[in-house]
Amino acid sequence: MSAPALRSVLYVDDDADIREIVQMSLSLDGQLDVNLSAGGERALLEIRDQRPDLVMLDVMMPGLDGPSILARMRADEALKHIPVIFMTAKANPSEVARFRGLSAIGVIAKPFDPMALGSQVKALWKSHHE
Amino acid sequence: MNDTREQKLAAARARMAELAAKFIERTQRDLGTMRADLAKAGAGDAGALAEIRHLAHRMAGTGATLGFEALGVRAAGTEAIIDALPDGALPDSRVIERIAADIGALETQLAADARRTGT
Repeated sequence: MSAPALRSVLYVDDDADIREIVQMSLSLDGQLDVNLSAGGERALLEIRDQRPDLVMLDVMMPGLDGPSILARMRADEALKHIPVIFMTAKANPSEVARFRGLSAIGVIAKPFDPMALGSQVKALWKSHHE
Repeated sequence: MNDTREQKLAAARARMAELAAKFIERTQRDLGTMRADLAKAGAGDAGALAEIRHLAHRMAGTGATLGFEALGVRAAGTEAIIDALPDGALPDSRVIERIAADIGALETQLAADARRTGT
């Protein structure tokens, strides 16, 4: 069975430049609706409001970090089914295993190649649905 | 009319160059802040140490993504020095010297990156 089309992504990161780069990168092929959030409690409101197909979370953010946001999503009946990808500079094997244990469908290392990010996300999406 | 992928790529590369120039300027300011914060951290200000870590983390991630790999690696090293401190611990003089040396190295690398990019 082929994966359903990925149509919408919400990217959460406290760094405005990285948010912009991610949005540019994921918008290159014109098939994705990419929205952005600076994080915190507001991010959870935005996830609840937008119900994206996929949420991508920076790990290290002030206040509510990526894993905390994921935990809150998984505790919310309306949000718990939304797949999550983490983006982090700490992508060694033990950290990746930890993030997958938190039910993320994948981890993308920072720094990332802006021109390859779309392909990486699509590959993780496809793999999740296989 | 929708832009072609090639047009979007060209626009993205142009915007990345703008962000890189903005990053150079911001990092110049941030390194000044880090020096001031290091003096405060040496005097017992834990918040100043946390700010140094935050700035180093941001330099590491954004810098490397924008093509400033050497600067990103050095900044990640600065972050790692602070992360290696026990929870709540303040840096001793040896750690202060290491961080000061890192800030100096970051300033040198940033100047080289600025010349390379014509910023």
